[in-house]
Amino acid sequence: MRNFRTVMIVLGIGLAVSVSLSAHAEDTAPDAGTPDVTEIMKKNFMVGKLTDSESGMTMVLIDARGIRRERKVESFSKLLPNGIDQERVAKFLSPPDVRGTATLTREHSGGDDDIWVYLPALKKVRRLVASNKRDSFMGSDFSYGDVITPRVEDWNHTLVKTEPCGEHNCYVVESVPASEDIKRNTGYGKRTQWIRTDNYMTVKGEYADLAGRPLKEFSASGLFEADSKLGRWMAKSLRMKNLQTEGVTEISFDEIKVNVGVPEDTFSERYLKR
Amino acid sequence: MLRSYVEVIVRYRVAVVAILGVISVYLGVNLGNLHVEVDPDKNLPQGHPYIQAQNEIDDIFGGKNIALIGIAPKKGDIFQPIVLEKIQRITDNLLLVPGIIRANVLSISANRAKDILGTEDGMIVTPFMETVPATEREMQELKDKLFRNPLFANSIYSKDGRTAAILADFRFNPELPDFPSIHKAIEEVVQDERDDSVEIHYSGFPVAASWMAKYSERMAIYFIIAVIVIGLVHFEAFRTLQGLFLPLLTALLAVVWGLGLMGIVGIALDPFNATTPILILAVGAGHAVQILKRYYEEYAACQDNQTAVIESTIKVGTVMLTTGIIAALAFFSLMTFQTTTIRTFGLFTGLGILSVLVIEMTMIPALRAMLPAPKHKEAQAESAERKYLDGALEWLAPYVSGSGSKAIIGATVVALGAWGYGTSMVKIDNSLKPYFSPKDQFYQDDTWLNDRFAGTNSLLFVIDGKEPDKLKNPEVLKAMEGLQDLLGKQEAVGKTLSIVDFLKKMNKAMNADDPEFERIPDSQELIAQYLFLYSISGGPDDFDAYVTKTYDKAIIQTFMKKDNTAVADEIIRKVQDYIPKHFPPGYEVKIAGSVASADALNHVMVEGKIRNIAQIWLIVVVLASLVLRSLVAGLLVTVPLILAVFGEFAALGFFRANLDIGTSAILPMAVGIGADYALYFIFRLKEELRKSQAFDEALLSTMRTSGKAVFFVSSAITAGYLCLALSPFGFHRKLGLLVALAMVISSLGAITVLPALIKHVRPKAFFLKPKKDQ
Repeated sequence: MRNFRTVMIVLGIGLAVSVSLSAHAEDTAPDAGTPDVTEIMKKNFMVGKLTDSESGMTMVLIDARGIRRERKVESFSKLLPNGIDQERVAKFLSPPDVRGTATLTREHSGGDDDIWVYLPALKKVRRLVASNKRDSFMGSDFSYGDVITPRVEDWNHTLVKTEPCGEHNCYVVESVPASEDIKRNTGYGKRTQWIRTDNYMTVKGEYADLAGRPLKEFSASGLFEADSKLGRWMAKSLRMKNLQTEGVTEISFDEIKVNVGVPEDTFSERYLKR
Repeated sequence: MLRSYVEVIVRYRVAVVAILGVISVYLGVNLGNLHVEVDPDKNLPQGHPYIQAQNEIDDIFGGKNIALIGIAPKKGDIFQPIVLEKIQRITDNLLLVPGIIRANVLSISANRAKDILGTEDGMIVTPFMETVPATEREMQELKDKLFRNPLFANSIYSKDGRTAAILADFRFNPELPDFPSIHKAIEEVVQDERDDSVEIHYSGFPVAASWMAKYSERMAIYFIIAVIVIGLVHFEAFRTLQGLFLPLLTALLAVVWGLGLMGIVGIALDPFNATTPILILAVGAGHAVQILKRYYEEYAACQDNQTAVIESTIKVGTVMLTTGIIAALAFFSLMTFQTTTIRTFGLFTGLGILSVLVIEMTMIPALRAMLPAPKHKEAQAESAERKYLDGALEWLAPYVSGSGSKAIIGATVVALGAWGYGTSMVKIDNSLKPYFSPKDQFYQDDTWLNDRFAGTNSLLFVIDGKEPDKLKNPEVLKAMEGLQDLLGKQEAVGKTLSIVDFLKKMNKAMNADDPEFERIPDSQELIAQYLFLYSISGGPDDFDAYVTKTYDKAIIQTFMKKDNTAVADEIIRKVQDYIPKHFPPGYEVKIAGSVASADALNHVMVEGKIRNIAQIWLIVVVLASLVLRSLVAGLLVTVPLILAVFGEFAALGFFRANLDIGTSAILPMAVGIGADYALYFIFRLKEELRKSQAFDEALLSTMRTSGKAVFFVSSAITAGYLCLALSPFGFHRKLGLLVALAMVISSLGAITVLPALIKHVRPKAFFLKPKKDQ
């Protein structure tokens, strides 16, 4: 804990990125004229990687009986020097009894992610182990695997078709875990994503569990270009429905600022306690 | 008027038989419309607070239909890949069953069963077993994880590590409508896993209820056996084929009519009424025998078939209509009850008795008029002296009318005293297990599981804070902890589990696993933050079985090794004493779960059935008094009935059989049949007394005729019901023995105690001046 470092990622942006996936080279021996699925997935992987961001977010959890719970979160993110991993800090503003509770996450694309949690009632920072990507993200219907960008090569991808999705066209990409470990770790047997052909953002996703049963449905809306220089995009609203528990989580970003130069000490234990 | 009516029936006998035949066929066809209500909820007393609490929490926590599946390797402990793979497959496949409550599925491999480990840095929450350990090191890790979480000991693994269990909870739905379908779903999941390496057993309330339903279906077989036995006893009584078939025809047609009418009015039959057809059969046969006996008597006097039919129908018809209407009204009066099954019982039996009356007043006289007159041999065979029976009755009549009356009354008083003592020993307690025999698979499975785990029966305590976050209040959580301590001290309780256990574990984990901190934190904020912390490291749904996501309601799951409602009552009494002393104001603690549902049903059924008896008794007194024109006589008629009821209670008390849902249902049946003997006997006695003011003469001829018929009927019904004593199913045995006992007591009471009392009380209506013309 003592030598814990200031590394964090804005969770909202992470969420937008979350649905990106990458492809194996061997998957892709595209025919002439067919887009290369690996290229699609690499672009999809990168499209949400913002240099840094600051946002206010509302998370609404709706259970099977329709009972709604609302959480307000303030969050910051920063891309790490490797250009892939992010640091993220999230501070809860409500409900009142968890106000001030904060998490600091540092992705390690090569291994387990680090998560630190500050509990104001305990006045201590505690470390959690989140080797498990299927664990719930902030108690929502999103899992860490949904929000923390997975490595492209962890999944085997197939471009099924291209079809219209709303006013745009989408690549429909099916991805299956490349190894038993990934399968177990994410809890998904298959993911199907609708990726816009113009900007590579995922607008819809369907996830099956390890037994092949439908598990979750994802959708993103209110897409906008957050960083036109780098061609990075974000979604204003995200929705995940767990088909098995019938729980729904809706996340909306109330205000988003990108490339604002989030100070490095935001991603520190001291900041969490503040 | 009655005479001309019977004459019309006899004159147009072919038409009457044809019309009645058509009606019977029509009603028989309507049996197809008879709906058997399998929805167990509909039979539960919906107004009872336990049932209301269960309904209220059912869609939140479930907990109504919890089943426990146990698996043990034949060699070694559960920490073998082959056993763990089976646990994983059973768990996964149970999750596919429609109606499974996912949040309540618990096993080593269930995702919500997690290890909470404290470290120097904080807390690690990981599922016990995501995949079956492949190496020895992984296997050891699993072992360590399980054994450092005693929270789950004796619920998903036995303390000795030799048995594992999977807990499942089901909610009824169109695809899983009843207990047998839950049972079937479980069996389908486990059957593929049964092999030489393991043994698998399962139990729980839905399984017990399913077995009971299965046994109830066998009632049909006993019904057929009862029909045959009753027929044979009648054949012995009359020694004629008419004597064998006619009463059975009435009885069977009455059952068909009763069921057919239920089909037409659209009232569903429920499993608790599976025994009711035998009651109608017995009542129907009883009336038919009285009338047939009188027919032979009249035939012997006049030697003319049609005259005998007319005379017997007129003479016994009045009595039959009176007794039948009294009984039917008594049963219909049960429709004022709230409990569906008691209403159905009243309606069904009432309709059955009315059917008997209609059939006996139309079809049977017509049919008998069509049949040839008894041949001389036949008539002789019928009236031939039954050496022992006639001898006994000839001896009994003067004994009762003479010196014996006081002895009989004295003996009755002594018997009542003894029975009163026996009654005081009756325990009101319902448990499904004693309904089964130790040889039954359910009994063995349930015993196997209760020997190894916390219990197959559930009692739930719902703590309702009414508003969100109220269940994060440390004061309440500490009160819950105290309640769990109290429950844990009860002998029948194997284990309790609630959010409190997880919070204590988290507090300890967040304090480097220091046992000092295995307690509820004092601050609500800290509690809220622990729960939040768990939700972001464990799963957001992991606590769904214990607390609502809004933290307004929580439950304490209590696993019990016994399902006795008396035990539950005792525990509930202690809990109700504890609640106001420890829970802050504004919180309500409600009781639910399978044991509570059975408890509610038991209370309502036992109290309801006892009120049934009182109501039937009262109606018999009122109507019999009116018809006999004597309140005293009306009261006397019910003496054999009171004796039968006390005799039944005493038998329950002396034989340590509980007054439960089953036995309490038997009592009003016994009363319903028993009243008829006394009514027939007293009407005949009254008739004879009008002929002759000499009590001894009147009693002797009553004894020879109606007394004999009472003996035939009661011996036939007793023999019919005793067939049930052969059943391996405990409830059927009790039903058989208790009804047989009631028949013996009420028939003996009718022919001994009743006349002895009449002799001494001398109701005015009975001792009028004899009519000159008779």
